[in-house]
Amino acid sequence: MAQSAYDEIRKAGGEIVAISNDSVESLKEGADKSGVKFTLLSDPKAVVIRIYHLEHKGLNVREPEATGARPAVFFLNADHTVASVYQPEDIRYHLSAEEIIARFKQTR
Amino acid sequence: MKTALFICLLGLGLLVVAWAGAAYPLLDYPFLDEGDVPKLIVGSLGGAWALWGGIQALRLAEGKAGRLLAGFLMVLGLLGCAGLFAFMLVATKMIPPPADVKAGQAVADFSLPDQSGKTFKLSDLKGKPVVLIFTRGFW
Repeated sequence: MAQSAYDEIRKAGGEIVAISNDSVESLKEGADKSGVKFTLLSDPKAVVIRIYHLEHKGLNVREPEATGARPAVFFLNADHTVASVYQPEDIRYHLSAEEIIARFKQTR
Repeated sequence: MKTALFICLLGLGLLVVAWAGAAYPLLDYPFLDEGDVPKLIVGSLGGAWALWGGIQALRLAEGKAGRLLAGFLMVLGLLGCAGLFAFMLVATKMIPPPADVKAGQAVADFSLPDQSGKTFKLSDLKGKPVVLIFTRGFW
């Protein structure tokens, strides 16, 4: 979903960074398979995920005991202050590429 | 004397178990959470136990060597107990402050490995607006 927003965000001078509790290996595998170009960060111990209060056990089907991240999107300004936060109640919901672009443009 | 020494050693054993219990999970996740409170309690009980055993041993000790041994065990219990508390305090301080995610607030820097294994720092992108996406994974 975010990959199709990437070019537009990039053109506008922004960056996309995604964080999950996947290992570096599985991120590499996933990036190769799906052709994702933006930065994917590996947080298997959920250190940063916990800083952002997004920890959630049982999200990873393969490792139900591992702490994963509830989906959330933080739109940061150029000085890395928070412009807006998207955090759905329903963890199955993700922002579409169009919604990411639209929200990103609002932050500019 | 023998009983008191036994009690003292038992307390020291408890202290060691509490230490191991407190230190082991930190290898994986370097911060303490609520789950570590029982270890703190067991550790302090073990320390107090060792201290009490040491005092009893000291009271009943015969000869210089006995008193020396009892005193040594007592100090060991005291140091272990104090050390455990200090360790807990330090480990608790290591918890990074939660991000203030309210609009207008600056977010704290962090670093994590990216898909190629290189370390990425959020501050590397200073001057650029960033879309920071937290996901369940499986890209």
